[in-house]
Amino acid sequence: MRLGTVLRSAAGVAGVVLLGVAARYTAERSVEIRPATWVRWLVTGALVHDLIVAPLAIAVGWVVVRYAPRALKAPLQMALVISAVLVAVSWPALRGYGQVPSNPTYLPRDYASGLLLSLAAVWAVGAAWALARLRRGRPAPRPAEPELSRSAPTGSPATGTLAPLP
Amino acid sequence: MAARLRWPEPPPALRRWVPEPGGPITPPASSSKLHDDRIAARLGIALAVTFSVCFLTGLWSHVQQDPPTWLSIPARPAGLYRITQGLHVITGLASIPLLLAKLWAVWPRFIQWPVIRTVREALWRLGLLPLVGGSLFLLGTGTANIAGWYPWSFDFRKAHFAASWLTMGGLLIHVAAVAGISAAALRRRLSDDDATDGRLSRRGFLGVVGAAAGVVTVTTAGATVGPLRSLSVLATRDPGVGPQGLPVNRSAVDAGTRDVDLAAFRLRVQGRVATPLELTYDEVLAMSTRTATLPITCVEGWSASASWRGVPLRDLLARAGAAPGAVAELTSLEERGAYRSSQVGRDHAADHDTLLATHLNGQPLDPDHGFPLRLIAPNRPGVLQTKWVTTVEVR
Repeated sequence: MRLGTVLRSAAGVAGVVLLGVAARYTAERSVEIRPATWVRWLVTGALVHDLIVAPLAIAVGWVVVRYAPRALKAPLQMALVISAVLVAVSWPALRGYGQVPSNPTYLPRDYASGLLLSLAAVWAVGAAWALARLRRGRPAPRPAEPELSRSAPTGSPATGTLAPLP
Repeated sequence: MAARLRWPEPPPALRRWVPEPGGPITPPASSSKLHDDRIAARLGIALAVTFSVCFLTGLWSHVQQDPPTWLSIPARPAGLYRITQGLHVITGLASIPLLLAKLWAVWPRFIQWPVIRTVREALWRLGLLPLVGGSLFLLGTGTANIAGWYPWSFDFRKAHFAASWLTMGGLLIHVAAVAGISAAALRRRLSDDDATDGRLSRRGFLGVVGAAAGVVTVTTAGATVGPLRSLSVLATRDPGVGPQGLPVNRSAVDAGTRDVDLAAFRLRVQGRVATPLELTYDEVLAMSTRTATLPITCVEGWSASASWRGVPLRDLLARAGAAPGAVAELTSLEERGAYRSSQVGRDHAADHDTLLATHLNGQPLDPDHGFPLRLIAPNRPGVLQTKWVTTVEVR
């Protein structure tokens, strides 16, 4: 057997063992973990992401690359990606979830200002980048990725390559 | 290999986007060349690294809180837990853009037609649930936890711990399943030229994802990395904000220990000792004290150093005539709460910096910091630095 095959099999077996540990631990601590609720959260998270978050992100991205002026596309993509992540990360703080009057050391900052400030910084960088691209002028349009189509026979130039599931 | 089943033709609405039977559906919105195995492989490798860091540091934190009987947690280096737990939260937060980008890159696979063609594929999709669901669960619950937000009915620590095994199991199985595809994708040589019609190139996309991770880190890591404090405008805690300049996780009001009656207060050292002690607050103050600069590190990732003064626990144990190598259980005045008592293992009980502190930065403890007496020890999670200590049970 090739070393790669051995390693892959070992990883697979180890993975199953870890799943077993998770199952045993969850069963042993079922009073605290409440397995039914726990599983519902796991499945809901995956579904909300796959059916709502990802399609939404893809749709927004598509609108941007379809309709934005050429020089603005990449800066817009950059600013939107980082902004979305910042909003997601700061969401509990922004909404004040977790704030209790008896303990003001939780969420001690003004998160709306903090988020606006961070977003302003990101969009300022994006604007500077866009300006630089506009100044550099429009490079002559070139055929899309000739290198890609030559060296990657399975790839098409316009789309990425996602192999079918193994 | 499972037999290929006959499936109906794709619905007319999808037909124009199905490039080949079994291939991913590619509606125009998902035709970006960033939906690519190479990008997925790169992000996957990055996530394997960050998730491993989170898993190991998380395991360490869990072991500290629930030590197996055969293990004595070392008391040194004093700042170890501060580093491991800081790393846990920083790495977890930085993983958020990595995970979202990775899922985004492979999402078109999710909507292929037919949705499931073979038994093998059904297993494949089912097998991704622990990984995808677990990853989102870990990063989501972790982000809520550091804000002190618990919108669920399960015990956060145990549910997060269980999900980490599930996710790492799913990750290992996934690595075994996609190692071939990923290796082949990474071997493909591509030019990353700028013929992208103004859009982000592959390299540009990875750069943006990395930048997002960097921005998240800078805006949050100041909860434990001092120099970043002023930049971390989104950090859920500020190591300099709180009574006596130090944050608090459980306040005296919540613990019901706001007004301790000093006249009635006694520190009891009992259990396996030659002479049980029952000391008033003044008697504790009269003992010889020690001052140590120690970090207090919360499991939620914030940490701050402070100067603590108090009686070394080992002096109290010696005065009570406890055997060398003794361990102790400290109990709080707090009547309920998951962390009203904690175990002090052999190494910590013997360390000269394990203090029953009376003073913080030169002043008597604030009630929120555990007045009259609290435990403060090196290399120890904050939840085990028991506050309002009244009993030391020697074992």
